[in-house]
Amino acid sequence: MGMIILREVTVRYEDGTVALDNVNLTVEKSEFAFVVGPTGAGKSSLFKVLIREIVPSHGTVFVAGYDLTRMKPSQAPYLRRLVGTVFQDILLLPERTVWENVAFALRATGVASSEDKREVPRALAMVDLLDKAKAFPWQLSGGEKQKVALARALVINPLILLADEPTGNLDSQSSREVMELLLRVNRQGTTVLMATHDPFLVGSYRKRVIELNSGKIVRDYMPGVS
Amino acid sequence: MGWISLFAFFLEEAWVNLRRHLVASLATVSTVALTVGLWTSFTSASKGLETLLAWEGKKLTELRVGLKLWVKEEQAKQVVEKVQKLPFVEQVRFVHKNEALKQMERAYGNAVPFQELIGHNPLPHSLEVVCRSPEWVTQCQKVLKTFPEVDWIGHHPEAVERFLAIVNGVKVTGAALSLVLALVAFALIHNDIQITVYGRRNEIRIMQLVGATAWTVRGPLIMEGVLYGIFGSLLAVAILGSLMRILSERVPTGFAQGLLHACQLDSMTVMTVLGLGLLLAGTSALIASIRLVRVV
Repeated sequence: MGMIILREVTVRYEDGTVALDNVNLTVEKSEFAFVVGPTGAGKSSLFKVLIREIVPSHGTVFVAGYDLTRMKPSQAPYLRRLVGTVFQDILLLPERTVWENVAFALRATGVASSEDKREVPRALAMVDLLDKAKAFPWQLSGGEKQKVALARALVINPLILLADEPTGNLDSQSSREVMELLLRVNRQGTTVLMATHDPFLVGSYRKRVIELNSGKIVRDYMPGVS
Repeated sequence: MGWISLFAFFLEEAWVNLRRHLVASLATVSTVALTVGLWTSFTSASKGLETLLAWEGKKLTELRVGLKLWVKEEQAKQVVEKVQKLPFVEQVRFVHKNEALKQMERAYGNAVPFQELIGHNPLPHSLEVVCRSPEWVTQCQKVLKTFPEVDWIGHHPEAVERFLAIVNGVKVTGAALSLVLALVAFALIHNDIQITVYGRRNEIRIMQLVGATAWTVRGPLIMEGVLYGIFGSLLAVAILGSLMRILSERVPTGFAQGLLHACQLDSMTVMTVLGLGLLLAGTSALIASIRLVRVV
């Protein structure tokens, strides 16, 4: 059974806009896939469906074994502990150190503070930022900030990582570093779905590409495989 | 699940918020203090007035009942028994006419030998009746007037009524003012929580994304309200305590001094003030957090 399964999923907003139109998709455990498409193609709506911020107007969604269309809103937080998220707007807390930003996720999910000493360094080590633990976000580069956001998503040990344009605001060197980290996370068994506008990035890695346009999957392919 | 960690997290986040919008927080704490302090002042004042009534105000619940001249000592004692059975009477004392004369001589000085001047004791036997509370005095008078042995009843009903009117006035004014201030405090706390929700929109968004439950997101906001309640109540206690001390040093002895003494802040009052502040601020914050932080 796939880690993410969408069957005939349609998302129609109140103003009548169709964000996703009869989408069928399966992403396997430990798979890495790019989600590409122009602005308004439905990439962000797809991610919101996967963390149950949006409930589809039609169809069924399974994520990590949970049927999201039947899930009560009060259960959504428990799903989100299995699905880490990283966005283009990095959302770090400016008055807190790197360590505190990462530990914030543990606190918010009710993990005892005694776990910090074990979990925070582990997450920071995964993104190569252990030496910046005491730094504040304003002391970091764009790429480093994104790595902190990644560490915050990873510290709760998610099964799936959703990265929505994580390299959107980064230079090419930082983009490559973040990309390498995502691949490293994927190699450790986490399913990764990464939305991007960057065709060069997609072309540089031989990974599955799901192409969306006007809410429909127009192509779903593996580069180099005919 | 680390409940202690979660509580510490709420407390830490609430404290950060409180400091982040310090001026608004101070205004809220002051309003809570004013509300709780005023409520306590008025409640203490009315309670103090009632206590004073119990101390000195025996006079207000006391009736001097003069019996007719033909009533003998034995008959008077039977009247005492009848009066004693009335439900609103706390105590009855028979005053022999000789004792009444001595009381009069003491009051006017031994210089005037009443008995010698007149040749005999002209006073009747009388009773001292103490009612259970000032509210019963008028009713007691009405009943006693129906007794054939009763000649006159010495009392000033207008004093009782005036006193009761003052106590009720204090209670009603206090309740009305406290209610208005409670509404103001409620609105201010709601506004503060709204500012916090706006100021913390990134934290709230992150919490929701990493899987914090709705109550975990609301926790720091509710805790912020609880802190307003605690600080507001403590401020109220500190101000009231200082005010009492200053007043008791400056107010001359007499009724006002007695009233101040009766209004002293005891541990029970302090606990009530704390409870009230917590209830007011905690409830406001709870309602605001439920309204403002929706489950996404």
